Amino acid sequence: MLLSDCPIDKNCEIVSVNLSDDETLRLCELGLRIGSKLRVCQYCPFGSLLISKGTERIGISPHIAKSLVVKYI
Amino acid sequence: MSDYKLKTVSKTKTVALVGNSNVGKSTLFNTITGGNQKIVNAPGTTVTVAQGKWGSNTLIDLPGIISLIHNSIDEKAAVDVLVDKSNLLYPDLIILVADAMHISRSLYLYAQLKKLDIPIVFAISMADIAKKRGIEFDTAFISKTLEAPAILLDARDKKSVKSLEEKVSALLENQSNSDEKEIKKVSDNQKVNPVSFAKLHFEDNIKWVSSVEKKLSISDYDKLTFSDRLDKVLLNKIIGPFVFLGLLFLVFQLSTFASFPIIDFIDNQVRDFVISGYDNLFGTGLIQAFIENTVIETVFTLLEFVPPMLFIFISLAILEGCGYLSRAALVTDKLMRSIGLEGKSVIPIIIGFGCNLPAIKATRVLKTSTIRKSTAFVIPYSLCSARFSIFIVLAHAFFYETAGLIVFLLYIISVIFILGISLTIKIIRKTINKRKGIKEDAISAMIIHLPVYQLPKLSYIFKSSFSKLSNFLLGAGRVIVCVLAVLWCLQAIPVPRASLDGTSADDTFGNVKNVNNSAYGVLARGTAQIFEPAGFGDWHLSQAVISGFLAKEVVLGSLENAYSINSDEASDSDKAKDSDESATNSRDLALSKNLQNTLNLTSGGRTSLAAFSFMLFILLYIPCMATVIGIKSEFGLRQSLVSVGVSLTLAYVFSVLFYQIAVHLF
Repeated sequence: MLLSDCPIDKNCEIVSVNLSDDETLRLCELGLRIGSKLRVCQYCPFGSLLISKGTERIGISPHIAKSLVVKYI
Repeated sequence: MSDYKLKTVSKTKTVALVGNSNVGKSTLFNTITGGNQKIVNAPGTTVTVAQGKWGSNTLIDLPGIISLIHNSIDEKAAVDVLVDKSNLLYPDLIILVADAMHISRSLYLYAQLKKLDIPIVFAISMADIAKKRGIEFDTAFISKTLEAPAILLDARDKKSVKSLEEKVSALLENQSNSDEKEIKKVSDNQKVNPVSFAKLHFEDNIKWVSSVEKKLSISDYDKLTFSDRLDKVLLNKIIGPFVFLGLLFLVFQLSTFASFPIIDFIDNQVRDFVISGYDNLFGTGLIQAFIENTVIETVFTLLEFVPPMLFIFISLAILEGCGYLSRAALVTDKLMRSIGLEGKSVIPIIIGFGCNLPAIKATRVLKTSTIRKSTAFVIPYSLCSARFSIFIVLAHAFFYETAGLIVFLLYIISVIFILGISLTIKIIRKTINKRKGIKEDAISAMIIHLPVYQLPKLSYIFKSSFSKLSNFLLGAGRVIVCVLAVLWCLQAIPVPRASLDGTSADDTFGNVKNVNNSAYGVLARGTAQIFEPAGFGDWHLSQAVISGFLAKEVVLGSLENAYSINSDEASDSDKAKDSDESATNSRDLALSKNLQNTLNLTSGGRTSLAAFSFMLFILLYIPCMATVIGIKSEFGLRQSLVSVGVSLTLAYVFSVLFYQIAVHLF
């Protein structure tokens, strides 16, 4: 399931990233890597998503949300 | 002067504030340095770095970085300072500012920085907010784990900063005692390749961060917080944009309509009181007139900018301090990125429709220098309230019933120019980056780490706002007084024009009755020829354009002055002496008649087209000298000159194009 399709307030885990190597590396540095546990908090205007990763709240663009494959945990 | 002093070191050392964006580096920098700071370029780049004095040492606030693998010009500049020992800003010590709520990212950065052989203090900001969420940090344990001093920090609190000062002092003292570092710095001049260095250790660093996260018991999950509940409303798909526009409208209103009565009071009551008092005390000699028209005029020119600028600084500091600005960026980011800017760019641009100068200063909310520069470049094209006041008078004089539509059309043109120029800059930037092989960081642009909502600290907000304001006033004052002195001298030098009107024989230096008979008049007449293709080649209008460079507020006044219109004459002519308002209206009427006569002559009867061409020029050329000084102080002389050059070119080209095409069509 893509993160962009994940329902609000469901805990999930990143299982794969559909981006180039450089982009995946950057995403990893920003704290989103395979195995990261997160939760969608809010769907925002113009397709952005607000997600929760531990105590962090991260706003992500629709492009990223469609590149992350997640599973429920 | 700074409130904090590093007492124990005698030699000047450089301390760098390093960290991810939005972790509180700039807040900490402002608390430490107060007004004692300046903006410098990172060596060999156009990226600006804030530099300030911290006792006998230098404190620098580097652009936010995620890792040593840089993905933007700003990040590269910051990383180069850290890895190149020959860099002028190479630090003797790093304060790594880490946000307590986003500590994992800072741990990753720390893992890279600790291999650089520069002592690090790990400063955890916003620990008070984390504590409220039940997250507590044992600094002794963290220090032991990281093998570096760790400290909990409230970047806005003096006591907290005092503790940081002690840690830094102790480390710098150890350095001074050993001198080992200094020898190393001189002899070891090599530059580490940061990208290969960081990639080489990437897997190890990630593993290390995971192990530290486990040791610190950082949870994978979090309960629903007050911030989350607030975000459900403020970032709601439907309500979110309206909340954003509402707040922006409030800031815009503060910068314009709330400022108007104060500016009016300063401009009329205070100015009259001071000038009449000055005249009574010192008389009306040549020197006195010079001082009145330069020094006193500079003070009042600057005072008129104080209310809008202060309102904007305070409003933005509150929005940033409470954590909303990052959300605003999320709301508008997709739209603004389509024209090459970013979400937060919309804030200074909207403010620009009130006053361009505070808008230029408001670009400080943007963290990327290329985006800051692009945003600052388009701000002068936003139709500010000073231009609005000119357009109201001119539109009523030439377009009668359709005056409102004409002013609205000018707003539309202003927006079109902002969008068009932003897109042009985006295309140019992409082309240059493609040629140079520079990749734009698409990923970090699409991820925004949001701070927790909190109550802004008012004492910090007022202190930092007044500090920014006083820095600007002192810098701009010097330039404005010089320009006013030159203008006054030009207007004071008599140039007899007996062949034309025969009235200037009695004029002496400082006593020129008609500005047309001064050196300034000669300059205006010379410039007038340039505007002939645009349909308004007349000295009355060209001198107003020159005066408008000083401030758009003076355009109407200088036109009245050039046509020798004063309230008494105008009132006499129109039999309207009842009130100040009727005197103003009759002045506007007299001005309208004079302008219609002038443009009728210059355009051969096409007055409306020439008037619109004149308004187009006023809209597009540089708004005022204060804005140019603002651009210079924020981005340097080069950008301010380019900005002036481009705006003058666009104003001239488009007013000529409009007039010539319109003349052929109608």
